[in-house]
Amino acid sequence: MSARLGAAVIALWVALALGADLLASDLPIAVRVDGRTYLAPLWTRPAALQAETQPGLRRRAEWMIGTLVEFGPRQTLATTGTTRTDAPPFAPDARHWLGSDDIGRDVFARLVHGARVTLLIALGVVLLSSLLGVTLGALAGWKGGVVDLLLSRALEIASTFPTIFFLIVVVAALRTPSLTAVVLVLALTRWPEPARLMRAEVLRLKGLDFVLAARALGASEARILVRHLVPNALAPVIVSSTFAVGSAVLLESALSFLGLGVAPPTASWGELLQQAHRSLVTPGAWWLALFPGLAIASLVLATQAVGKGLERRFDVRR
Amino acid sequence: MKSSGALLATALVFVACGRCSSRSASPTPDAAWLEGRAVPEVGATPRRGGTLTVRVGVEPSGFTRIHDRYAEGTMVRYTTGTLYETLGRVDPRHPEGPLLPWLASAFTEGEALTVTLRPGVTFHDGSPFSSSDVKAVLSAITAAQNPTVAMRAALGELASVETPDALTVVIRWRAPPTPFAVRALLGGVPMMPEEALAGDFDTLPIHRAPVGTGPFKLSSFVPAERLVLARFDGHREPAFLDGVVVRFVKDDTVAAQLWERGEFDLMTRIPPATWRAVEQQPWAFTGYRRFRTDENAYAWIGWNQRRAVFADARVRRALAMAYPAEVISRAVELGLEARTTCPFLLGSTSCDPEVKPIPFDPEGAKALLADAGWIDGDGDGVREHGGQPLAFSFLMVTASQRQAKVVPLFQEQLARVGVSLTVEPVDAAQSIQRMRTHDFDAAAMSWSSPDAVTDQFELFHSSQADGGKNYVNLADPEIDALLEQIRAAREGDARVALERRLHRRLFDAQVYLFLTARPALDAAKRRVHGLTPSLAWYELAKVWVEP
Repeated sequence: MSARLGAAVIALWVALALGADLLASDLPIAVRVDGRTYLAPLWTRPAALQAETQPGLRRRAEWMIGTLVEFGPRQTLATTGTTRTDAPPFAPDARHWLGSDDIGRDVFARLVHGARVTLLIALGVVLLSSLLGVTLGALAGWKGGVVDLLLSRALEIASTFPTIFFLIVVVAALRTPSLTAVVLVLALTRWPEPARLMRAEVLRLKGLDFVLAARALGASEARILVRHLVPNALAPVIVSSTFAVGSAVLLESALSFLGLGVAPPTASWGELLQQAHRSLVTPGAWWLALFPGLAIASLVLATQAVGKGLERRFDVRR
Repeated sequence: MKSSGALLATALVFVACGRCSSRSASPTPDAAWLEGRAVPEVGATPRRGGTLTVRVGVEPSGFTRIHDRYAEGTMVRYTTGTLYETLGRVDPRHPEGPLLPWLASAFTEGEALTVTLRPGVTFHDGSPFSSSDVKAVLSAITAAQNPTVAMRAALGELASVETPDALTVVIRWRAPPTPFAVRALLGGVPMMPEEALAGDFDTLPIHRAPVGTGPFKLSSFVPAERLVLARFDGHREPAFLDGVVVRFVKDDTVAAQLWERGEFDLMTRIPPATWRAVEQQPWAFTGYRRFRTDENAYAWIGWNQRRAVFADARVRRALAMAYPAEVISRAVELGLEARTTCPFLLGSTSCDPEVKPIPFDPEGAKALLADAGWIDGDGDGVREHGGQPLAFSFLMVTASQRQAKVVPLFQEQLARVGVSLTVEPVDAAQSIQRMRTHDFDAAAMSWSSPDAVTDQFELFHSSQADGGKNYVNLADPEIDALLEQIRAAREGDARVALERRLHRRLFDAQVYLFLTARPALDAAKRRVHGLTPSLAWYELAKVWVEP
């Protein structure tokens, strides 16, 4: 996959995640029913439509602008209005394009809403861990001495933590894992890599002439670090962070697969894979493995391709 | 090149035709197989030898059922009659009737319980079984310092255990014993050698290396992997099998795949979805017999009474009205489980037939909540009362396939009536621990018993909230009184009437949302014979296999 194609795939997933509500929701984009007009009820959630669904509203509305798929990510077979009498999961058909999960929830709806969760977590983790890593790495590299010694040991200790076990313990202690909590916990395990890269770069750069020149011109230490060193040392961190997006996606999926990700019924790709695992007995439910599997693979491969592209662009050897 | 292409095409046609013919000739399962009915075996002659490989989903943490830490329901099923034996046993044909003598040859109740032991019984280590062993086991249970609280509570307060001779035991209680206490003593206490119980009870080797009188003895135990049992040739009725290999496979999906690969002779605890899925699979119905056995087991959702949100019975009733039982039956239980409202064996006389499950009625639930003062004043979709939102958390065991489906289905319906349920994912051990310490709002669980006669005291009496199994903190004077009366009542109509009153009262209180009575769904290879399902699992000593 080329870097451009990778960027396009990421852009597509971002667009799908941002527009998830417009693509799949239990309530329509706009509707006129019972003499009242509701604009964007899928976001405003008016009390009068609390127990409504799009198929139900469509039957009695004067007019309605529905979403592409008329099901929300949490709608089970109890509210999708299915007339099927067999038990879910349902294979892909005209009603559920990508099939349904084992309680009748639409896989497409869960996939696009899950993309939002996955991307939020992945980007949040990478941004937070990069911020933490860059700050601590830059400080360690610039200050040297005891500060470097302490931060370097902390970095080594953090690197040796068995990630999954650490996450399991922390998430279990959190009781009900929220999106923010999962981001924070994952970020705590990812900061050593950017910190290590930033420290090495700062150590390399701080002896160069431009730093000496800045110092000769009377620039303060903070100014030299923030305005001159960090921007020049960012390239390897940016490349590494791009790769880290992919691994954060995998880590989040693994956590959700283990049932330790964002609390149910929030949609996530890992949770769909967990359902696929539950449905592995022949004849199985291939759609529960294929579509989230493709989603995860496409996003991870795309971030890898973009990372490689940036690596070449910045001429950075990882 | 052309000829190789033609050869390939011919080969493909042959493969395709082979598949076609095998499909057209494939048999279909009969009604008995589909229903999981045990068909009586006619004309089969038992043979000795062979090994039975059994899948078990729960690994025991120890093998001494009298120890509180190891007193799991599953252990009761899998060890009684296999490794250990008791003085009496449940009559498989009349599970609610009196116990049959087993290690005892007779027992007579009067002022004291006099037990005459069966002569010639030996333990796996070769030592003879005698009255001193019975006394040693009962002494270990009644010793206040030992972690045997559950068993001690079940037996009641013993005054003395006398052993006039090697084959006679006379047991006296401080007060006249309840029928439950006598039944628990005779049918629930596994017999162990006196010598094995000497020393610090908590660290006795017998907890990990059982020595009983059962038809099988321990051969090896590899934690997280397998338990290997060998035939005990010193048993009065030696088993047919040379041995039994119990494989611990917790994950149902992994177990199902191993089953499909033919790795289990006896596959236990098949989830409903797998039970239904294999109905289309020739490997399953040609290679296995299925057993759908009614157990004395039921699933429930409990509301912690220490939480203010559940204080009003109308709220609890409304929550029950929002439970989508039909949808769950269709999507999760797949029509294999029967709804129940009763803590006793489904269909037994102890259940009041007039009590019917609360039907799914979201509009009724809304009206009831409004009547109880819970109104959504701020329009956020969640009702409030006195400034408190109608919101609670639900302990969901992450490994439970059932809960992974049931909880979101229930959560969706609750949201529609204005109740917020937040999921707390926990592992099984954490869930039990938190329920024991009442550190939960709502949780799902199931109770099971190998006996048809059960004492509900430990589950619902207010004295059992701390240390017992009254996890939901029920403290209802009327229920307490009924439980005490039932304990004191002799078997018969009077006790049945009290049990029915208890059933009605528990149903009215709705501290449990009773869900379904669960059957055991098992399958055995067709070469396995002599499997007779009962409340107490299978009698493995009677099982034999074809070569």
